[in-house]
Amino acid sequence: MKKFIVAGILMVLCTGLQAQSVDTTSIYKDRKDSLSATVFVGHQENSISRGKTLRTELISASGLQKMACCNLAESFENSASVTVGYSDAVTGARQIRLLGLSGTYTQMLDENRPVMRGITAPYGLSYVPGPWLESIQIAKGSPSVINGLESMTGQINLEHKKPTEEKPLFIQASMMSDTKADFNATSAWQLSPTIYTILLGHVSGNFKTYDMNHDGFRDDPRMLQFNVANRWLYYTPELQVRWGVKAVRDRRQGGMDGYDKDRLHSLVTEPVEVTAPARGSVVRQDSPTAEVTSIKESLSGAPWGTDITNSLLNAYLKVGKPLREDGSSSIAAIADWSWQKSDSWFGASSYLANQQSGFVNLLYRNMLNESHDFTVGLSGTFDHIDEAVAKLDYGLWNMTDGNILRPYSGIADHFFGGAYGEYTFHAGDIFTSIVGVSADWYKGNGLKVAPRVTLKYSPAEWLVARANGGRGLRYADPVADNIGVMSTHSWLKGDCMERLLEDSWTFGGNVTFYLPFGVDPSKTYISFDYFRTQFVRQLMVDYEVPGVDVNGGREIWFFDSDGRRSYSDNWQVDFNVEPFDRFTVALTGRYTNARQENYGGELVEKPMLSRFKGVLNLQYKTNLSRWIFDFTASVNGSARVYDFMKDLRDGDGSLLYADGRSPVYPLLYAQITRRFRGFDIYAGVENITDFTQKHVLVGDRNAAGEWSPWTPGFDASCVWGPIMGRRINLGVRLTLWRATKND
Amino acid sequence: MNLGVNWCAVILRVMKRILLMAVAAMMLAAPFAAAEAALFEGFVTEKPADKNVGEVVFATNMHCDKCVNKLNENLAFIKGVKDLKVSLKDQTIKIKYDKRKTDEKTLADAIKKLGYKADKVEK
Repeated sequence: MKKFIVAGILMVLCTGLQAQSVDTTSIYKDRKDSLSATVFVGHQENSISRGKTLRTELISASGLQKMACCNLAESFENSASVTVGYSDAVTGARQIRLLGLSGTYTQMLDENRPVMRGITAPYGLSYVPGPWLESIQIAKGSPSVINGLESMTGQINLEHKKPTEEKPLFIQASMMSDTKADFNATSAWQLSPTIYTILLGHVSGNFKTYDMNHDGFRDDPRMLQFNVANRWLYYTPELQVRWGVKAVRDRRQGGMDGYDKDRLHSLVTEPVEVTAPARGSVVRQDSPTAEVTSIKESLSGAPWGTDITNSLLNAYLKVGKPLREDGSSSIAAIADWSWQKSDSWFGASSYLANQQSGFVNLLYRNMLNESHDFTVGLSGTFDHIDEAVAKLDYGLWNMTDGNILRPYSGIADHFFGGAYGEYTFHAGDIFTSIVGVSADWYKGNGLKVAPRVTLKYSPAEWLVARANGGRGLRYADPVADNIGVMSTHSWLKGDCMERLLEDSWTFGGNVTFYLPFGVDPSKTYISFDYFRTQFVRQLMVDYEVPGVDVNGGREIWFFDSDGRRSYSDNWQVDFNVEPFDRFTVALTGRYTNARQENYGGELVEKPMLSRFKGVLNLQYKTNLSRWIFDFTASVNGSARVYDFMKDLRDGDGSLLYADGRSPVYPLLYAQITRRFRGFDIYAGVENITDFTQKHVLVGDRNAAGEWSPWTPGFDASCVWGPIMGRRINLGVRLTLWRATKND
Repeated sequence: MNLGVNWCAVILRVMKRILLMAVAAMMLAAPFAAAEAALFEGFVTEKPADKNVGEVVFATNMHCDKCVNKLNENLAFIKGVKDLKVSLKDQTIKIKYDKRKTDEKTLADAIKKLGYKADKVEK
């Protein structure tokens, strides 16, 4: 009997806690809409999950190992669905794009708790170390209402390594040829028959910086990051509790060597805290011109740089209680609290912010029978955001004005919460429909009702069709969502402190055909997607409003879409096959057409967004996976560059963007892994062709012909391509296994 | 001081080039190696059975793909193991091994050490 119970627990631990299924607390039995087809056998890498009702792409731990993924930002190179770009050329902040829209419209979940929200979101991707992860699930479209409505273009769920893992020690260390080093360690322990824990640690740094493009700016900031987490599980068949904490501290210094924020700080005035609505007011309105002149002179000799320190704390608790023995009915509660602080300096400008957030979700699930099940719940989110921006803009060069720093500040208390319900109907394995609705009260915006529908139809083994649609809602955070604006000397116009409630509809579908060839025909498929996101209301940012400044300074306008159109259409094809044993081929292509009406009401293509991306991934493993060879090639389509970039010239005087578009460029990656018992070593090359964006900085040269950031038109945010050239990486992974307690 | 920096840069550059060439060569070689392997795979069965290669099947108690993964990760690197098939569905582990380097008992012990049963299945 005891044996039976232990075996039963192990089964549940294996299936339930592996949490491939998108259930909020991982306490349910496998849902039908998340069939166990999504498990990783050996080295199953990136694939579209057959069983999922939503079009879900899976990147497994071994898929993550295809490249030297130091952190989450680097984990999507194999995927055409997600593209990762730099926010600017100086902070190293990376942002993803899903369905042609900014990553802020994609909900990031950590085992179904919303994460990477708010002020440190621009850097959030680098706060999730790749070796901590077991898998990543990318769901396109409108996912379940259970996790809230902030998922507008889709959802990326991160599965961390579990406390139940049988690895008392796992170590990963890697080094890039540009001295970027990464060290990760995880340690999982079973402390008692019911208590499990895992410790996760990460240290990374970039100790030496290079300036390969000779613009006087570091290509990658100097960095040092500490990241620790501890996750716990208490497990009995009657009650399951999960809790954990995470702490991150990150400092990054980019720009020119010798940048001293304190010195610059002393040159310009402290930002004056003004109470809303004093936006646009000026500091030192009465400054004598002579003083401005002297400040200008002092600044012009000082190095321009960025110095960013971010801190983050998070704690969570999840409690799940099965109400029936077979787990078909259960209640669960999730509570999450986080604190973030960003102390960021960009030249003489600063962005000082802190945020506290709380999230609660209570849910009840009941599987009535094979065909019907429903979930109802209550959820609430609270955010307290305190931001103070002091921005140096072209006004400094405009002698009639005399502004040194323009302050913008705001304290926002957001609350949104309400009730939701979701009903799932299954007709065997052939048809599944999920209908969900969420009614939430948004502070300042009243009650909002959001429906979401998902359908999956699989009339034959070889065909799966999916359709999906729904509404998404989120509060915008104008500056944090567009942190690149801080790396410019443009004047922030409009209301950059107003956190609009953005409102969008996304709908689309997917058809996957399974083809009868390859080693394992269940893994040979071709899949077609179409998704469209359309905004009803959006906080728009226009970098291209024609400026009025005589010195060439520009303006960045923040405004309510107020009836202006904004949409994004996306088509994608995926093809996967294993033509012969241990050799896999994955080919994928995406085409995006994203447009929005600008400040002047003209419908334009979204700037700096590549129209297409194609990725080819080849992998060959020798027998018993002792050697693994990976090769990835991608072609990145051209993007419309900002209007003001059309005049940029190369060193030889030729126009860089004569047709107003960036060039099409390839990116190649290769990696070789040699595996031994308990440890792997790998070597790889990134960006083999050494393609980088020419002239990532926009601005002027001084009288001596040297590049000077202290000009009204300075802009370090005009990035469409890679900044880092070819890099070689070497790494090692070490695993200690523990015996399974079977009997 | 300057000299030191220059030297470092030169060494780094040379190392980069060597590594790059090695990686490129291996990437180029991989598909050929693969094609060759595929070419010969068909012939394996036609070859006379190698008297040094033994085959054994163990019945075991796995629960999920995590177990499969764990067994694969560990057994593949035991000295003498030539081929390995871990089946969750059949609850079996099939191993081909070099008789000169290992034996059934060593293999069974290795499985047991990982926490699983290893009952030999007689053909």
